[in-house]
Amino acid sequence: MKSAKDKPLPEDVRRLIEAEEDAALARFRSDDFAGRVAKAVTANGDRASARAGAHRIPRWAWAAAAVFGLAAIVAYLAFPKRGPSPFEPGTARAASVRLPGLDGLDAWARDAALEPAPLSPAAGGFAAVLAGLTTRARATDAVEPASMAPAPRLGLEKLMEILIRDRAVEKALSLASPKFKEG
Amino acid sequence: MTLEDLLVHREGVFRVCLGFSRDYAEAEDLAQEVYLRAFRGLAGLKNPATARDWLFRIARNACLDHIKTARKRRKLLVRFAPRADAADALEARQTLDPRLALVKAAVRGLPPRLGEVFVLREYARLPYDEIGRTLGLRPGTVMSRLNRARAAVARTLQESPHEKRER
Repeated sequence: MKSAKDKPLPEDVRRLIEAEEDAALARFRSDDFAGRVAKAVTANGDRASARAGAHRIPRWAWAAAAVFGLAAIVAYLAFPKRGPSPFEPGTARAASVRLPGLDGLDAWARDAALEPAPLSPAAGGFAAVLAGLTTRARATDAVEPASMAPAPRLGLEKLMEILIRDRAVEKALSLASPKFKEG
Repeated sequence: MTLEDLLVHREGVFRVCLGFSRDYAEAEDLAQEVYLRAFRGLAGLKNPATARDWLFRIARNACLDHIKTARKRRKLLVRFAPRADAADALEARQTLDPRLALVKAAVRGLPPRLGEVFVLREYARLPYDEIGRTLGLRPGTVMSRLNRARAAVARTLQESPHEKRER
């Protein structure tokens, strides 16, 4: 199917292409291409079957796992747990006694006395036992006012507030007196 | 239709891959990739009589995909490691006859719709009607594209510094 429009490739370019093809085809024929393809297909089949392994787990198992995970997330969000306070009971009041005149500290001490323990009864009991043991162990070197009653545990927000205030007070004291050192 | 039946056409597939590739090793890898793709899509081949056209179509697509990926990679290489790209190009030139390297670069630089017709005709040596069937074109379109592709390749060779130096 040749027409007047059909312009051939320049002869030298055609010869170059033909020479390249001849050399490449001679090499290609001597190589075991069919064997190479068979190997690649087998390897590809192994990979595909490994991928298909994930599909062997029945759908109901995936669905059950998803429902379980969702329920766990909902339960976690609906019932937030608060761990036992890292502070000794009565810290708020002790701080208020040591640093009188600080409005924030006074308010915190009042809130701490009123705030109920946010833990479940079982967790609260365990935490109370733990706190009791810790308090007893440190009773010899703890400096607490004699009239101090055990303070209830604090929430996370309160703790953060206390920490920030603590830092602010420490900073203020260190600025006011260069000799001041915590502890 | 099995893989063995398709392997009957392996030389034609290899010729197509050679036309689009820079050297023998790349062509062989591409031919293997073509057969892997064909194997994966074998179930979708409705009419075994068209297996040869189907296989060449897969070869064309695999080669054009490869060229596109290589171009992207080269762009990144030029941006982040220009010396590595220069070394790569130098190595490619050294393994081939410089004029052949120019021809191959010119073919790879053609727009895909011209390059595919050029390779199927000049490398795979398919007749116009078979090229038309493979690419879904009329023979007249195949011819006009082929003429444009040949002219573009010839022009690129004439304009290359190597050719000018030899004249």
